[in-house]
Amino acid sequence: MATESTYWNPKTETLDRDRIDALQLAKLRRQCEWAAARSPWFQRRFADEGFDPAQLASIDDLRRVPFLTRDEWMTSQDAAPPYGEIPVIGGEGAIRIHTTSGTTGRGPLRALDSRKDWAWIAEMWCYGIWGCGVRPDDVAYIAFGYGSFIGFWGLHYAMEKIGVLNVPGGAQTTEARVLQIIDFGATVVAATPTYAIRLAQEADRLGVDLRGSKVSRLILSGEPAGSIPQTKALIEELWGAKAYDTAGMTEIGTIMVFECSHQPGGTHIIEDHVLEEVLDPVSLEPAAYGERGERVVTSFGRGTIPLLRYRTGDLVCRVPAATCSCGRGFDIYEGGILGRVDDMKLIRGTNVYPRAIEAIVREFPEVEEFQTVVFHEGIRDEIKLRLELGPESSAAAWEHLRVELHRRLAHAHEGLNFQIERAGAGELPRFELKAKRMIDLRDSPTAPVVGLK
Amino acid sequence: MTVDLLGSELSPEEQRLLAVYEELKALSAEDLPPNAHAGVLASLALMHNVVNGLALEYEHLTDLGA
Repeated sequence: MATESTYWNPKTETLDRDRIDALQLAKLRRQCEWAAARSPWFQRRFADEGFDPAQLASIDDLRRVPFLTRDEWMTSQDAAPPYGEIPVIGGEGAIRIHTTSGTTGRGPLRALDSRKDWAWIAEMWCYGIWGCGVRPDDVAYIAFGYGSFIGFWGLHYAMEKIGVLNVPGGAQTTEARVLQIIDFGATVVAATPTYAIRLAQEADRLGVDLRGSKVSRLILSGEPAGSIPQTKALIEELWGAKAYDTAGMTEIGTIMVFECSHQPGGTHIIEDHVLEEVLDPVSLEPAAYGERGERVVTSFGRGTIPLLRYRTGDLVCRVPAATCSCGRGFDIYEGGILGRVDDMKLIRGTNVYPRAIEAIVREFPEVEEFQTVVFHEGIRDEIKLRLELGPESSAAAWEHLRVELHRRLAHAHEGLNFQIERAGAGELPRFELKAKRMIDLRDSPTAPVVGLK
Repeated sequence: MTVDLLGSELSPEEQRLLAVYEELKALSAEDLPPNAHAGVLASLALMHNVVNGLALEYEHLTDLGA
């Protein structure tokens, strides 16, 4: 029976490296030919760079294909609004549009999808949720706002495609979502890592025992935290359930990696549908297995928006498929998405990564929310960690936490002095989607930070 | 003999799946009533998942309205 298969697509998930390369080469040729024939932007770029899809004789020839950057995509949108010249069609022929959140001074990136492309988006999620053990007899609760951000939309349709009883959790308060998870007997909950913690905190306030609920799996996405071991352990402890990381992006339209039921400490790349490179972000030379580098993705899924060698800015570390015992031939990003290539902060000569801070903070479950603020004090860079604890936390508990966190953070950062400050109840922002907990005021010294003393 | 994108011969089931897909593509070009046309396009999008996923065919369906 189909439900007894470990893999969503056994034929391709168990291919060996040579066969994966051969399949990717076949698809790469056709996708490049498609882009050359239909996308005005790629036609010009290929001509400017002297690239012809006929040059693709081996998978190594991928390096002949020009890069695409987010900035180039946005510039094309600005020059030829509303969609730019990367898509092969305008709004006609598409059935759906999703956007990213706009960056300063620029509008959002607008992504068009056709019927076929949208079906593919859900299909990619099927690899992930089937791979972590979701089956038709599950009940899924999707704690997501169902807005223009693509988020868990694809997951929703993937659940329906598999035959899962699906509870859309849009337009709900956190309290209502907790109660619905219990009332509907959800066995699977999808949320960002931050929001999974928030739901558990709310359940605790309501006296709802999530650990005793039917929830056995959490599907995490939207933030690197789903693969931070300390954050994941906290979520699993709070829910009494296993947590599985996934990662995707609006530019692809869906997920490109997922954590299988064997939980190898990373996420499998869905290599029959995306071709992922890891490159040194400066030299743009390929990084070897086990070396960190920037994710560069080529997607075979969307026809409306060909995506070739897109520089994601994500920091990853690729390791061979054999690192996992699940039998898939798909390589793995060890530790999932490690962060952004540009999210490192340099504080008085010390490198500080948001992921490293979160890994330490999440070892203290009494911390309900936190925020890191980097700022100038005179000519000196300073870093402050602001913490919000539950109202029941005593002064003595706070002092112990403050001292311990100060010690741990300094130890992990070459003795760097982190200022530790307790924020008032409800003072720090809460997040349903992507959390933004690192604020750097050095570039915009007048930017307001709520409650910063 | 029909082979997949990796050069392997199709199984009998794969041949039938590919035939369904090809039939849906052909139907999408026919003059059908709205309910049938929309149903064919929706089905075609899903069958594309199947033939693409099984590496039987790889193409885009933009010109067919899917």
